[in-house]
Amino acid sequence: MNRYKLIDLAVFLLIILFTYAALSKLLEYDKFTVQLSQSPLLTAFAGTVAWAIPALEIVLAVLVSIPRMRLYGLYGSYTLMVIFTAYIVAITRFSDYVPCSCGGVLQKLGWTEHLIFNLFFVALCGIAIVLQVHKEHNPSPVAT
Amino acid sequence: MGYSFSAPPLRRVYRTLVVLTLGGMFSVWILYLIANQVNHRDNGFVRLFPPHPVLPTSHVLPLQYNSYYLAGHAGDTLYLGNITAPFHVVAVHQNLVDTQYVRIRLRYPLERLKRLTLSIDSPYFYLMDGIAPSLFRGYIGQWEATKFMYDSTYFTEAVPVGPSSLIVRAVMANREYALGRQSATLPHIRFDTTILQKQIDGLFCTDGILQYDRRQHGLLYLYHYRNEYIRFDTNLHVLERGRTIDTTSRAQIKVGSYSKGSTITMAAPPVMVNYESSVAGKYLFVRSGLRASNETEEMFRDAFVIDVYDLTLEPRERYKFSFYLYNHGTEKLKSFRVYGRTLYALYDHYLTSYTFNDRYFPPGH
Repeated sequence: MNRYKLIDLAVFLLIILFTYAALSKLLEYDKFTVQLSQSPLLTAFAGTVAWAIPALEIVLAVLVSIPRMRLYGLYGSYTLMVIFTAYIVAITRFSDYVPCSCGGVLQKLGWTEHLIFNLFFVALCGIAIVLQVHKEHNPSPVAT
Repeated sequence: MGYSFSAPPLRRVYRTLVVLTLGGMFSVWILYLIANQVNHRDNGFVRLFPPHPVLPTSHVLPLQYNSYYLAGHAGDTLYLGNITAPFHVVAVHQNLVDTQYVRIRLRYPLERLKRLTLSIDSPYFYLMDGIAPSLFRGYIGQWEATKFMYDSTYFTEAVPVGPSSLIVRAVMANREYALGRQSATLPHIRFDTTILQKQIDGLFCTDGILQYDRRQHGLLYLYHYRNEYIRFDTNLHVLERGRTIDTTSRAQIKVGSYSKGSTITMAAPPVMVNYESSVAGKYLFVRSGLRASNETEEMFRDAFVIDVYDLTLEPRERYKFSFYLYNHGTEKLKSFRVYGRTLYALYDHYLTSYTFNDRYFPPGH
């Protein structure tokens, strides 16, 4: 199997994840804003974060789907997933009650599952970045 | 493969990934610091901590489930109700050694009941459901519950104050809380909308704890989000409004709504002033959520602080002193109650008790 196929898989999963996450937040925008403002870490910034996060997710989904911009998109996705992961760790340690602001089915995940889910995407983005750079510096197709 | 994964361009990628990882974590850490500063400032008042006003007893009762709550006390027995199994009662002798499991019998269609809570008021036990709404009662020891009076009013809190009357808190048509008296005789229900005083929305801002002290025949309502309590009698006459020692006289909450106003919720983490309280004789015990200037944050992480007030004194002299109820292992205190001269502390899987130190709580009351 061509290991660069893994890049396509990562891109595919990221597009689905970000589009789904952004749309489910925007469809329930009021609720999302209130949920964010209940978060002990985000109270002060809820208004900005409420539109910035879905917007960023859409931009990243677009970037990774354009081959020329893919690497930037992957770097962005990697950083965003690291931030989400750090946020989960911070909020579970921060207060007794933990409000959830994730959209759709992701809301059903427990915090440990959520952490594993995010770490999986962090790893996936990391691997995809390495492979993407490898591919860009080594244009001839390599079969392994 | 002609090109190695440790070639210079890729080494640059690894470095970038490390920088991005640290950057991401750093940004959340900054958020954490900002929030921490807002949430954990001290509140400009001072507590007194005399040595050992309450003394731990040697016994700890392990509990199998984390769904127990303190339902009340009769004679020398403490009763634990269970949220998920409303007919299951644990009777614990005050030595915390002898326990007895009781099952309440109730002949009533269960699907009509939503949230039954147990309340002990010797010689009766009460099962009350403010959502159904339904009221049942039976004798302690017989544990057979039956309907006993008018019960068509919805409520969010209720305490029995006599054989056929309750003091209730309910949500009025204007979506604000009010206290009322419900009784077997006409008019069955009477609300007084002036006791709880609206500051922001009238619902969240007036939330609090309703308690009855049987020996004094007095009721006490302590607000969650402001430093105030109201004492009133069983006829809803306000006797006085008192203040706790902290400085939060206005509720610091923000209320928001979504789904076109059909769901109302807190729109910011509220500043919890008073978690819960317990009235015992002349003493009022308050579990406070606010840190005093002479307390460390570490203490506040490892313990809950209980403030003691003497309600027979002049308002300004009421605050006596404070003490800590420490976490039990990794579990934080869930709830506490004082009955007689014993303080019971409930954790997720433990029940512990403390007795009063005569030096600070002179006997004979």
